[in-house]
Amino acid sequence: MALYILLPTLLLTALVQTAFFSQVSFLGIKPDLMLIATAGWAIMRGVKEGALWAILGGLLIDLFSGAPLGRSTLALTPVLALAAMAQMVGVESRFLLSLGVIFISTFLYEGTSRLVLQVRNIPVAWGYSLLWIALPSALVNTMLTPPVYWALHHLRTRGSPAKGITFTRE
Amino acid sequence: MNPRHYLWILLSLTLGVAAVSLSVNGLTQPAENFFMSIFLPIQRGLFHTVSPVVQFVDNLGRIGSLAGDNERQRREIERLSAEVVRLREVEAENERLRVLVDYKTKNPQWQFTMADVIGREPGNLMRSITVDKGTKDGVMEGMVVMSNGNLVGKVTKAYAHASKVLLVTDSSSAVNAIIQRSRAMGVVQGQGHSQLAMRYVAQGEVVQLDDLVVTSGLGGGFPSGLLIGQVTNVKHDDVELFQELVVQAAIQGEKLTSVQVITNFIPAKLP
Repeated sequence: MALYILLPTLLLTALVQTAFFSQVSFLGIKPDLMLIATAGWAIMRGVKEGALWAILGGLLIDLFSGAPLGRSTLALTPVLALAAMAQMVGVESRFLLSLGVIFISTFLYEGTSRLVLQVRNIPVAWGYSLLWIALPSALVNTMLTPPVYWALHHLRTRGSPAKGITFTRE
Repeated sequence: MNPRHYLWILLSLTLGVAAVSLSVNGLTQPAENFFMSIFLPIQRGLFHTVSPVVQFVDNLGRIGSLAGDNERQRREIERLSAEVVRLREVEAENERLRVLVDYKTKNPQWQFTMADVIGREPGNLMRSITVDKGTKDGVMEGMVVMSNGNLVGKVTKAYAHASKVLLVTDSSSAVNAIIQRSRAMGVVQGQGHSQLAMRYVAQGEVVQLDDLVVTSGLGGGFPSGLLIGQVTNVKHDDVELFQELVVQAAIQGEKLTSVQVITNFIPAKLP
């Protein structure tokens, strides 16, 4: 994807998450737009472009977060890996694949984020986090996937042809 | 999976770990300062533009409950007005006693700078806000943030024109506290939501529901006398060394639109 499209899109995604979704909650949870966009883009356009989203998008989010810089990038890496592995599954619809990946990767994202805290000797209530934060987050992120996926789908036609994994059926 | 994709995933992982390591040691501060100075005006403008829309939509959803809310708040105002009158009497009596026994007051005369909230934590991991005052306004890392005498949190990062404030409800927050009525001491820890946990309260201490919990000033991290919250539950187990209290935070830090940063209280840095 051309940089002149990628960078403003990343910035816009980060700003929408920090300015809008930070004030809005569903089921008491704030949606993770950057996670949805990273996973969706990695499925649509391949791991390389997904990695750019994870690295740059994660750093942008952390600029406005109280968490250490790099935490979001670290937490988005398993999302990227899951998106890459998911493309080997024989599901024709990338949209349905995105729904499944985003649901599961939310747990990975929240888990990795809390692992970063635990490594820094900050106490983490794992049971509470899994049940009352990760699970509702997974539901909220999955519900938000359709409009985000639609927007990404329109955006991908502007970029260069995707490089990386090409979807083949055995 | 294509082997090259492992490289991209490894790159992302490596950069993430490197960034976290540098960040916790404060080495990314200049870069963060630079990028914040670029993105902050955009984010602030967007935040203030979006806030009224969010508020409007929120109000639409609450129309049905507004009448009931108004009545409840009117009754609460009446109750608080009576409480204010009573407290003024207590304050006057306190002043007379202070003169009589000739002891120095421990309540500091705070100097503070007003700050507007221009951002909130974008995710669900932490509880923090961003305010529009930074080092150029005299705000430093470690300064205490309050809202009309209620403890909000502490400045964790101070940039040139903005600061990040870790709220008292965050799971990494720990404040030395005291129960105003019984003077029982403990530590109030955030749990990631509006209910705080006050731990290490001695078993012999008598704690009642609705007891007010304030900062004790011990440790030098926070000034004494800031309201933290109110006791809503007591977990009392005879076999345990300490009791644990559930404390409802006095204010919801993430709903605030402005705060005060106490600038003449410099927290002690203990080894």
